[in-house]
Amino acid sequence: MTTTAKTQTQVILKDSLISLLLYVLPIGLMFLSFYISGSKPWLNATSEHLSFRAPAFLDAVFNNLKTWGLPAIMLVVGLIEFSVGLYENKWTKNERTLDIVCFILPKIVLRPMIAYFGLKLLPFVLPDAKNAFAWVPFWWGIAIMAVADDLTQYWYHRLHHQLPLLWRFHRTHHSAPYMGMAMTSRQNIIYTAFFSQIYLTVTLTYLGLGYPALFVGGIKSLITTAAHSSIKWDKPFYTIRWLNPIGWIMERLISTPATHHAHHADTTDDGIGNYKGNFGNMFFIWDIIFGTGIITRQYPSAYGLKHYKEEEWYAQLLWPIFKSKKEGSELAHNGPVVGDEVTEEPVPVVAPPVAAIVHAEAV
Amino acid sequence: MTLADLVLITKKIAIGILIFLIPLVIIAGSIWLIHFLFNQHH
Repeated sequence: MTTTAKTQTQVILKDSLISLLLYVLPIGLMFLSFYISGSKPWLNATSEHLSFRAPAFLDAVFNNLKTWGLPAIMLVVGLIEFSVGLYENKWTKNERTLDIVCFILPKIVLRPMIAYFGLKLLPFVLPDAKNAFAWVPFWWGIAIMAVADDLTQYWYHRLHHQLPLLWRFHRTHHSAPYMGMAMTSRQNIIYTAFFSQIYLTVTLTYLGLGYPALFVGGIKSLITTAAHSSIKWDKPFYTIRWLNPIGWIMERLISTPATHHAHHADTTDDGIGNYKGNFGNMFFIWDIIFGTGIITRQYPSAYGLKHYKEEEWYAQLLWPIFKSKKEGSELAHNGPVVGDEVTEEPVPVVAPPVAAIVHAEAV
Repeated sequence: MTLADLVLITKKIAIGILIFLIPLVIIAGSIWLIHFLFNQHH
């Protein structure tokens, strides 16, 4: 193991220990509030009314958001982006097919399947635990779910960048040479199918935190979608003086186009791009806590991967089940594990195969 | 798809399971434990 890899492993271990405390923090605060107020919400739970019910209008809003609401918002914003030429001429047939398949497949097949089979299977695995935490007050449930879901996604995402063996499962999301609604859902199918936070949310829903999960899911979808948008809606918060304090808090708390676009930049050389950091999805605060974030209030001039070979859409979607035929691609048979780390030798008259030198610090 | 690919997918799933199980045990365990202790002392 190289020194860099060893250091990185130590950092990951240290940060994961801090994360354990972060997971417990809202739970500890909740019980502290019970202690101070003398309340015992679990005593009020009856068999007829175990779970807290969210107000009907909230229920309707977030139910619709998770079904047709968010795709409808994405389509409208996407049409605006397209009509003002934000994709320029980068949305080729190959990119378009990949984006559309990735937009549809997880929403209508993968995620409903995971939720359905998860909730069917859990009664067998945890037979006595159904609604065990249904007494948790709604707003405390939101705090617990927000940390549980988003911190888990932060780790899932971060490890796909920092562990070379995982990088190619996430590469598809970074290969888009543009930002916008079109590429928000763009992922390799195996990356999406094993999203740890989906399974965590399904299990916590079974344990009785369903309504908070629904609420958090809705808010999170809106924030992550807005952060991927090519419309730089956060700019006024940096340029208009009286909005500056709100901008200062906002850019540290949640993902914005400035911080998330930096994560999708094709270079770090300009001091704006930070594809080796800015991992936060809904909350950016994780990047602040773990020191993986950079805030510049600027936007990269180019997105995607320097070593992108415009691999076939099916290879990007289904790698490693289907491989790319593009020579030297990370997704090709015998391709480099991390293309960004390949040392390209000057080409002699008879070129030897390019050696894929992979360091522990991935893209 | 080769055997190496299957091994890679298995490793990827194993890491995913860890990222799912660790927070689940911590969160569910904490709620259960603090609730238990809270009831013991009150």
